Amino acid sequence: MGRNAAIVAVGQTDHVSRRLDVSIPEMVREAVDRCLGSKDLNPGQIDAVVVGNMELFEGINFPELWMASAIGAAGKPLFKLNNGGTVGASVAVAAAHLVASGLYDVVLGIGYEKQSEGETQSAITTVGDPAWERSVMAGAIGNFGVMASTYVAESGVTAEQAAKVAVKARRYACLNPHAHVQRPDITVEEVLASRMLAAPLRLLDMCPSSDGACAVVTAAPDRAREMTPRPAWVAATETAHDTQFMGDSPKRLARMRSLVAASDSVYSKAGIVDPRAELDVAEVYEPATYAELAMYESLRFCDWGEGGSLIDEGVTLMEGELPVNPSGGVLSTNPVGATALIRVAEAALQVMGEAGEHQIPGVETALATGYGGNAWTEAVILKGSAP
Amino acid sequence: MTEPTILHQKINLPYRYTAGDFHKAFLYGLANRRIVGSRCPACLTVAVPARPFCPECSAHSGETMDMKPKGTLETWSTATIQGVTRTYGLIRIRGADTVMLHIVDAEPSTLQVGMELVPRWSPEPVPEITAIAAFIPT
Repeated sequence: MGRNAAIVAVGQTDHVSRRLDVSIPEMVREAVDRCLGSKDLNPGQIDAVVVGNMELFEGINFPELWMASAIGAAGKPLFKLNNGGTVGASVAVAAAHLVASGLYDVVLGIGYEKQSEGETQSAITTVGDPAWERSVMAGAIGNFGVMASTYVAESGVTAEQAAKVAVKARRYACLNPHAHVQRPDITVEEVLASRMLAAPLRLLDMCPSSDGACAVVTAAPDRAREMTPRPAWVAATETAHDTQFMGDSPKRLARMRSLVAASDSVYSKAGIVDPRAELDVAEVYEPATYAELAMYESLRFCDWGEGGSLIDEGVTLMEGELPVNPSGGVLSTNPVGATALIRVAEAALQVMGEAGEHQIPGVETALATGYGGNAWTEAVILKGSAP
Repeated sequence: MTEPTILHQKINLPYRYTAGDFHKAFLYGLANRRIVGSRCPACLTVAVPARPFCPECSAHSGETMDMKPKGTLETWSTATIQGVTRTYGLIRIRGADTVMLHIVDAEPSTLQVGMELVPRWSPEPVPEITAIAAFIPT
């Protein structure tokens, strides 16, 4: 990158199933006000804005235009990204690049979704090619079910191990005032007894569908140091794609090619040799319990096939060697267009020491990932000192 | 040349929209034959329809305000499609700094920028923009 860039402020709405009290622009403004307010910033300090959400989910064309007066972007550079579930992390990466390039000093990144207002699965079906997959595919959950089955066959991971991930996420969500699904008393037995959605995925194995927004301010070094005492420095970013058709890479979940490529790249750029030892916390985009276990392997937190034992041994608990998703993760909160930005935002809060009750002590290096329909990964390394 | 293969498919994409307090005030105002705007507490811009954020300075809007049900035509266009002629225009409600889009029901040859218009209310008192059937010349 050209010059350094750092995240200085983060804001989120309190994510819920249905925000019936606000329109989409009002919901986004709430996150922006919280973000700017957290560091006493004002809209006049923002040089450019990047907005991301999911195409078609709310049936809106030009969603960034809808936002313009809500976020003070009229007359400023306003960029829109629409690249699936990973879009929020792409917003963070784009904001970092815009700052690092020297084009803008202070960039506001926004991700949002009001899932309650659209037909998510209809929109997702348009991912499929009309001649082939579109008429026979089964939306997001069926896709994740197919992926989980191949992962189970490949690694021997058990339903109990997956259920432990569900328990971890929903309990940690209780420590996060913004998290949607907070269940302090959830048990492995309850997860295993929940309704089967798309085998092997049960209801409590899946992420929820949320209404919410997230905003993040990224700034150039001198501005960042003025704005906050401990910025979260962007040490490395990467994005990697896979191919279009589901069948082209049948082991996509077991060995997620784009996640391996993106994470290997950021580890290399940030000088990380042993991620399990060198990362202090990770916020990963886990759409389902099995996916988090598979991601441990693709992220090289353990050897292939060892994802299940990582959760058994408590390595990824808050008190473990490498805490994963102390925020409660995607399993607890999923306003899709915001979800991957929340990963970056939560990683930044950990580095800035502002994560509150779910703060991991002494975080110096954090990883955040974004995930787009098993075909696209963003990876970001944040550090407590300028790279 | 062989015939191209073209698939004809359809996707159903319903949506819901939560209006928020300001658009709600506007819509329920229409149901009561009132036109509701909002005033920016920071720069005093008056926006019609009422909206949550100032279109000029992005400040949170203050209170809503009832507008006089009169306006002037700022611009318009007329199109005839399958024998039906329709005009739509941008109408500045008296006292507003913004203009609003709606149907204008007037003989096309009489349309002039600056002409005075008033709403013709729909007989149905619904909280929808169509509660105003059209704007018509005074």
